[in-house]
This record gives sequence, structure tokens and C-alpha cells, in this order.
Amino acid sequence: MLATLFKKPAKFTGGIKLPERKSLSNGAELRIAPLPAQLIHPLGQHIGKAAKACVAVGDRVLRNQPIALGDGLISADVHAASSGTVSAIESRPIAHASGLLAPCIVIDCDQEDEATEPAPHGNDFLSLSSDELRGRIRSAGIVGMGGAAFPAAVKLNARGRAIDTLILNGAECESYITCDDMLARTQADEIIRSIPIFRHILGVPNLPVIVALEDHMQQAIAELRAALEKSGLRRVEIRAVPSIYPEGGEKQLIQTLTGLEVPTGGLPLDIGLVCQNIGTAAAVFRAIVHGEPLTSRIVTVTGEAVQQPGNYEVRLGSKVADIVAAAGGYKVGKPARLIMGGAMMGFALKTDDVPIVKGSNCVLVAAAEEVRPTDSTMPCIRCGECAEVCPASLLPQQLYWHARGDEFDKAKNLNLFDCIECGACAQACPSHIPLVQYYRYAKAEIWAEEREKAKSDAARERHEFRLERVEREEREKLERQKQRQAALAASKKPDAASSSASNGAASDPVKAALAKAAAAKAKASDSGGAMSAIEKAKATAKQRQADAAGTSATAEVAKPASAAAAAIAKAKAAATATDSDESRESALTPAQKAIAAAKLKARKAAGNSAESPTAQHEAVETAQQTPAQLAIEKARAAARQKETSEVASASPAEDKPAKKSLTPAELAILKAKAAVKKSQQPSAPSAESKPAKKSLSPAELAILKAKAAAKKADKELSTPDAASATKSPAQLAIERAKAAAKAAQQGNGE
Amino acid sequence: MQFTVASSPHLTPATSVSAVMLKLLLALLPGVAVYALLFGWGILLNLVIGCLSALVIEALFLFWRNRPVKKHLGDYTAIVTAVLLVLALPPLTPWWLITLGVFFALSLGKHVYGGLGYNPFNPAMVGYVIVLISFPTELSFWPGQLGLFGDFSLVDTLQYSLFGSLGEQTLDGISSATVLAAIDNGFSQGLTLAEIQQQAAFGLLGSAGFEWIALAYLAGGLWLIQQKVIRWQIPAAIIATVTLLSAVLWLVDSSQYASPLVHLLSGAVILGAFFIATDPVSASTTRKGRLWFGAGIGVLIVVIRSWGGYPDGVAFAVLLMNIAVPMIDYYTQPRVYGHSK
Repeated sequence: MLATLFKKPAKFTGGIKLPERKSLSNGAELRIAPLPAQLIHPLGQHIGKAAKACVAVGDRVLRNQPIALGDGLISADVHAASSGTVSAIESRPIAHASGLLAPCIVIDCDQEDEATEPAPHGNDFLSLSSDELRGRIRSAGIVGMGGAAFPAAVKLNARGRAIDTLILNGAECESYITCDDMLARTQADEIIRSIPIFRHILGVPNLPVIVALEDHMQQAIAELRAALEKSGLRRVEIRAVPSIYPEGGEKQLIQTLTGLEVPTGGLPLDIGLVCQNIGTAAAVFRAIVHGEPLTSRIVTVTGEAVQQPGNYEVRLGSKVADIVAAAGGYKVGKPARLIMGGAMMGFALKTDDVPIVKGSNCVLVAAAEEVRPTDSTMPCIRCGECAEVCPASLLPQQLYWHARGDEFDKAKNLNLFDCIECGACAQACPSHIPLVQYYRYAKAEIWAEEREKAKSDAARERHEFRLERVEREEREKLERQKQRQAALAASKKPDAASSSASNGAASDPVKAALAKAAAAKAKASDSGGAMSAIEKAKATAKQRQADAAGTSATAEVAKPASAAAAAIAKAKAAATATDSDESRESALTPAQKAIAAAKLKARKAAGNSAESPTAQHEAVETAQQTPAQLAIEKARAAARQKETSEVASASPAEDKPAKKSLTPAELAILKAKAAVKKSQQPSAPSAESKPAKKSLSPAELAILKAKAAAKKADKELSTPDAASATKSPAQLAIERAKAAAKAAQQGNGE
Repeated sequence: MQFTVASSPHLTPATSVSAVMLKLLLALLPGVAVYALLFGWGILLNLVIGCLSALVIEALFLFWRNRPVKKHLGDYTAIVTAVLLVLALPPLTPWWLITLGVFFALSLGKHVYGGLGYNPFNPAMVGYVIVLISFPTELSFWPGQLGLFGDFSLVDTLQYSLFGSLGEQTLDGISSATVLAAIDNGFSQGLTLAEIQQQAAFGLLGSAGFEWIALAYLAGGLWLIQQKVIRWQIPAAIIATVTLLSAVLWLVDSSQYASPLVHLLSGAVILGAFFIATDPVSASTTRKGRLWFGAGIGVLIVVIRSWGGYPDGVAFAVLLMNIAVPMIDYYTQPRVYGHSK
């Protein structure tokens, strides 16, 4: 009793109370914006790869017709929002903070609004598999409607993890925005009826569901409760959460509802949660039950400088100018800033000529008196109010300090990448510092730095690897010649071998290394039964060797004068042992075959895969040599392996994926190199072009950042092809290994 | 249509530096009012001199450093520094001493480091400590409760402040040993607390007169916390440590150590806890860090008062803990969302 009295109400950490300013737009009924003359559909309006256009200029398209198809796993289709003719496929200004152009499909509407036959649909979705349903969601082009625009089908893939709660997020926490409120008031039924679909996709028939709305959305809550009662669904809870910004942030809502935290760098899935916006839920329902792709959404058009603020059902691809016109147009002389999204996380648009996309929830036409002045910034007074409101419990004032001083590694150590860029810190700041801009700038710089480093590292590795290979080939050639001569001599004096066998004990490290390498090889081996038979044979041969070495070795543990000499000695002993045990046939014994195979593999392992025909030839050749010679060859290979494997064990990076594409020895060499390099260069110095940046205004920073982001996006588009063309698996593995090592270092640092 | 772009957030800001500083000044009003009522015109005159000096000196520094003069004079931070410095000085202080203190506070305390936001030390306390160790005689002259309407008129106060003349009054006639100074001297002369209490003006709770001023500061300070201008951790930690530590000493030997109540309501503990130590620029910024910062100040106050050479130790305690702030902040970073507990 007393405990419940004093129990704090469930709430996320930090947060800030904002002026709501929602009554501007949520008083009016939902209105439908008229069909515009032209629709502009950007190809990339979601997180992930941009879609690929599948229509040509001049084509007539119908409403709901796919005009661009998702490219790759994380992508989404784009559909025509009305019927008309494709008049251009070209770069147009889009709703992006940078004001950059992006490829768009432009449709001149014929105003007939003719639609295609609906996609397969119906209420019998329970008979479909989870994958089929996700496929339908994907081909309906549905992405997160809360603003992030992450492809919904990807988010609904449980990937074998146990899900224990589904959260439908209607906690619209930004000032001004009321589109989710309006959606819940007008389409409560569709939201509630999406729940069985989600449950079926996630494979948990009775999955507990929480539909969360902010406590000021009373009418929406009532509508949802009524819809829930009508549906008869069980284990669904409609919950009102406190109206504190950023309550609607996925991580914050999860903390409020469950008390759990999404692990850093992880997903809600990692703690058994799936979170979807209620707008996404309604879209999923329409896609599955009515076969409608995502071609329209509710957009809040609001602000003191627009004639009729309210919520409008808008065709995707409509220009901002069109929907402002639908809302009665601008108030004369009033508009000071045009903002896409909310007043906290939205970005200012340069022009109203940009299209509404899937993630556009609000168009704010702000008058001068309702936006923050840009010239009131003061120095940071370290009051710590930013830290008080930070929902991630970061120290924004410290991050700002380091970001401003271009001390990016320090910002990173202060968990810069846990920042969700909600802007609560900047809103709380008495000095009016646009803090988030600095964090975005720092993040963009760090990403750029990492990309540069990875690129130059890969180039260097490639070069060094080549140098080493050339050198090794030379060396091996020489050695081969020498050994042939030595073997010739050895076959003439067989008794010499047994006399040196007393040194066998010294070969223990060699044996250990050989065993290690063999084990690694067994792991990495992807060949079938033939290979494993050889492995077995080799193991037997090794056993015999060991026996021979063990019997011939005396108690004295001689210090190896040189590992190679010892190995040769040992190998000779083994050879004699084999000779004495087996009948001396000239035909190959299984042991000899195995040795030949081992040699071949060792050569491959040394990085000579390109030369494998030669190696094979040599292996056959060797197989015809005397057992003693074979043994020497084998020992040499073993010694070489020992070297590499020893170095490898010194490397901290344990990289499993790399093993798939590389042989252990190659991997070891790479690792060793990486380790050496790391010790030589403790951190990546990157001082270029920094002084200039110190004097940049936030606006300039924003431009810089946007450019970096654009560059990144470009690169993301081009890398998969370029990477596969120019990067060998080895380089990829190097990069991966480095990433792992870096992660390990960071882990130690914390 | 074309629009101007600006970075998010776009909402009008909820607060500003000048609003914060104004609230701080407002919260000092009750304390200043009680101060003037009990101890006469001196404090009011000092405040005027201090603020004027601050405006002029700040403007000169801003101009010299090529910073926007009007914008930074309008943030009231120089005024706050001057007011806190004046409140630390005796109510009868020559004008030049006040101006000098303000000069040191703003120059060595603030502008040499780069101005507002960059000073590692509390500027008011830097100025105070410099004049304290430079002019010990002037700063140990504390008048008794002259009253606003007593014999010592505004004209007398002006005469003393501007020309250093006391007219018909004598120094001994109007001065009175402060409780903390009496305790400091008394114990060093081997007197017991009871004997000391006969010498100095002990009031009902602490130091006569100053106890009521301290309570008025307390009211203002609590309002600041309610307004979220300051956070509770630093004042709470200072008051708790001073109380706890002095209570232990007092319980061990009440004839040699003053009671917690005397400690709290004499000198600058309350003023320091709510208004001086909470200076955002030079204080710790993490929640846990503020507790450590406050606790450190509390310990140092009691140590300096009990065993140090100065009767009060608030200024030294604050400055010493300012040094430790970067380290405190480093070791008291909060656990970030999603990181293991």
C-alpha cells in the first residue's frame, strides 16, 4: 500500500515538458487534400537502399501500381499515388535537411485516379505463412510512419527470437503534431484489427500488446478502447503515458512501459519487443486485408502562419505547396520558417516545392514569434540542464565541448553514438546552443574518418601482402632447390637420419603447432568426405610420428638449436619409423598420400592459392619421392605453420566470419599484421582541415554534415558493387577483424 | 516560395542565461532586505558601488576582447558576480576596495580564461579572496547592528565609504566581533565556548542578526530550487556535511567546538550553499558529482573554521573544490541508457 503510494510513476529517464500547441490542428475534422496536378515520388524515402524505378518516362501508370521496386533486403517499393503519365525520372529537390536533389519519379496526374486491381488480400491471412505476410507488407511499400521510415517488414522479422510484447506506438510527443491522434480517432478499428496480423507474423498467437498514447489524447484513447471491445481481442492494453518529450521515442517508450532498456547498439528485438507506430499498423491492416499499398497518409498542417491548420489525408508525392494550398494557403506576410516534421526534430525547408513522403508527419508553417531566434546563442555556462533532460543520460555539455573542439574520440568515449538526437538538451539550454547540430557534425566526422581509415588500411594491406608474397615465392624457390640437393644426399646416407633422432624431443613445439594448425584446418575445411579421409590418414601418420619421436627421444630436453633443424630431424625420425613399420613398397602408402596432401594444403595455407596447380603438381612429384624426402617437406611446412600460428595467437582479434573465406594461415598472417600495425599506431590521427571548422556557424555545420551524409548515402549506394569488384574476401576479412579488435579495445576502455 | 533555414529545435526557448541570472538576483532580495534592515545602509551602498563597477569593468573587458558588449552586459552575469562578492564583504567597506574586488573577480576570475563559461573558479570568490588576503584589516571590521534608521545614517555611511571618515563615531563604537572571528580568536587564546559567548554577539540561533539573514537566504535558495534555477544536490550536500561534521566535533567536545546551529547560521554557509557554490560554470555538472562537490565544500568549511587561520572558510572551500571539478565530473558520469548497470 505504502509502497505503491511512493512508487514513482513509470517514466523514462530525463525528458522535458514542451508547450503542446496541438490544439491548433486537432480541433478540426480530418480533411482530404485534393488530388494535385503532379506527384513526385522520390526513390529513396525510407532507411536503406533507394528503390529502383520500374517504369519509363511516357508510361501510363495507375494508382497503387508499383513504380519502383525495393532494392536489397532493407528497402521498400514505391507506388503511384494516382493515375497519370510518368513525365520525368530525374533529380528533384526532396524533403531533406541538406536541400540536396535526389532521383524522383514524376507523374503528371490525369485526375481520373484509376487504380489497379488490388493485390491478393483478405481476412484469411491466418492461412498464410509469416514470410508470405511480410512479403505482402514489403510489396505494399510500408515503412515506419512515425518519421524514421524503416521498412516495416524487416522490423517484423523476429529472426527466431522469442517475442514477449508488441508495442503500438501512438505517443505523439512533439509539439504541434496530431496526425497519430487523428489516425487513432478516425481509424481506431484498423489499428486494433492489425493486432492479429502482427501476432500471426511474429508467430505468437496470444502475444501481449500495449497500445500507448499520451495522456492528453483522451478521445483517441476512448475510440481505441471501443474498437478493442468490439474486436473481442484479449491481452491488449490501451495505455496512457505521461506527455513528456521524447516519450514517443522507441527506446523511451519501451522504458516507460516495461522498465527495460534496449541494449546499446541493439534492437528492441534483443529484449523480446517489437515496436510499431500506429500509423504503420493501420497501413499494414489495409495492405493485408484490403490489398492497398501505401499511397497516402495523414499529415498535420499547422502553425500560426497557415490559414486552416488541421490534419489532411494526403497522397504521397504531393508537394508541400499543394497541401498548404489545401489548408487555405499561407497567411500573408506571416511565414517565417517552413518545417518538415515537428518543431523539435523537424528540419527547415528552403522551398515548398518538395514532396510529401512516407515518413512526413507534419508540415509546420511557423510565424516569426513561434520559432527560436538564430542569433541568441550564448556561451555554455555548464549549468547541466541538458544532462537533466537527456533521455539517454548523456552529458550533453561535455559532448558539446568535445564536438566543438573536434575531439571526436573523446566525444565517442562519452557515448556520442547513444544520442538519439531528440533535441531535449538544446530545448533546455539557457544559452540557446543548437547542441544536436554539434552531435550530428561529430558523428558525421567520425563516420567519414572511419571510412577513410578502412579504405587506406585495405590498400596498405593489399600492397604489403603482395610484397610479402613475391618475397616468399623467391625464398621458396631457393629452398626447394637446396632441399632437393639435401634430400639427394640424405637418401644416400640413411643412417644419418637415425643418429639425429635423439633431438626429437625438441620438436614438441612444432608438433603442437602442427596439431593446432590441423585442428584449425579441420574447422575451416569445407570439403567433403575425401578430404576428411585424408585428414584421418594424416592424423594416423602424425600418431606414428609422435610414437617414433617419443621412443627415440631420450629424457634430455634439448634446446632446439634451430626450430627448422629440429623439425627436419624429427621428420627424419618419423620417416625412419614409417620405413621400419611399413613394407617398403614404392607405391604410396596412405601416410605418404596424407603427407603429400598436407604439403599441398600447407602451401595453399601460405597464401599461394593462385599457384595451386603448381603446388598440386609438386605434391604429386613429392609423392613419388622417397618417404624421407616427403617427411622433410612436411616438416618444413609444419615449421612454417608453427611460425604463423604462433604469431596468430598473439593477436587479440578473434574473428570467426573471416575464417570462412580465408585459410587459417592466411588469416593468421593478416591478424599478425593487423596487430603489429595497431601497436605502431595507437590511434588514428586526423588533423586535416580542422582549424577551419572551428569557426563554422551551426548552419554551416549543418551543411557540412548534410554533405557528409549525402556522400555517405552515395557511397552506400555504390559500395556493394564496388566492394565486391575491388575487395577480395581477404580485405573484407581484414576490415572485419579490425572492427572486432576495435570493439574489443573499446570494451576494455570502458 | 522560399524560406530561411535554421537548425532544430525550432521551438521558442523556454529559458535564457539572463532569465536564470535575474531569478538568482531576485532570490537574493529577501536576504538583502533583512541585511539592510538589521545592519544599515552600508550593504545597499556597497551593492550600488559593486554593480556600477561591474558594469563598467565588464564593458571595458568586453570591448577590449572584441566581444558584443551589449549582449553580454545584458546577461547579468557580471552583476551576479558583483552582488555575491559584495554580500561576502563587511557592510562597511571603502568603495575602492569593492571596485578592486570586482575588478579582480572579473579579470582574474573570468576574462583571463575567455569570459563567461570558461572560468574554472568562481569569479566572486576569486575577487573576495584576493582582497581578503590583501586587506585583512579592512575586511575584519564588521559593524554591529546599526539598523536602517539608527544613529549611523546614510550620510555617515557615504562618508565612510567614500572618504574613510567616521565623523563623530568611533570604530570601536560601531564595530562588533563576529561570532566566527570571536570563536577563532577565543579558542586560540584558550578560552572556552562559554567565555567566548560573553564576548561576541551571539543571537538566538547563531550569530546575532546574521542568523535572520541566513534564514532569508535559505528561503530564496529554496525558491531557486523550486524554479529549477539550481539543483538540490550542492546545497543539500554542503548543509548536510557541515551539520554532520560539526555535530560530531561538538558532541566530542562542546567546550572547544561550536554547535552545528552556530556553524550553519553564522558566516556564509547558507549564502554559499545556495548561491555561491551553485555557480554553474565552476561547479560540478553531474548529479552524483554535485553531491561530492558539495560534500567536499562542507568538509573544508568545517576544517578551516575549526583548525584553519581564517574565521570563515566558505570562499577557500569553494575555490579548492573548483579545482577538483574536472576530476569529479570524470568519475561521476551517469550510466548511459542501454549500457550495463
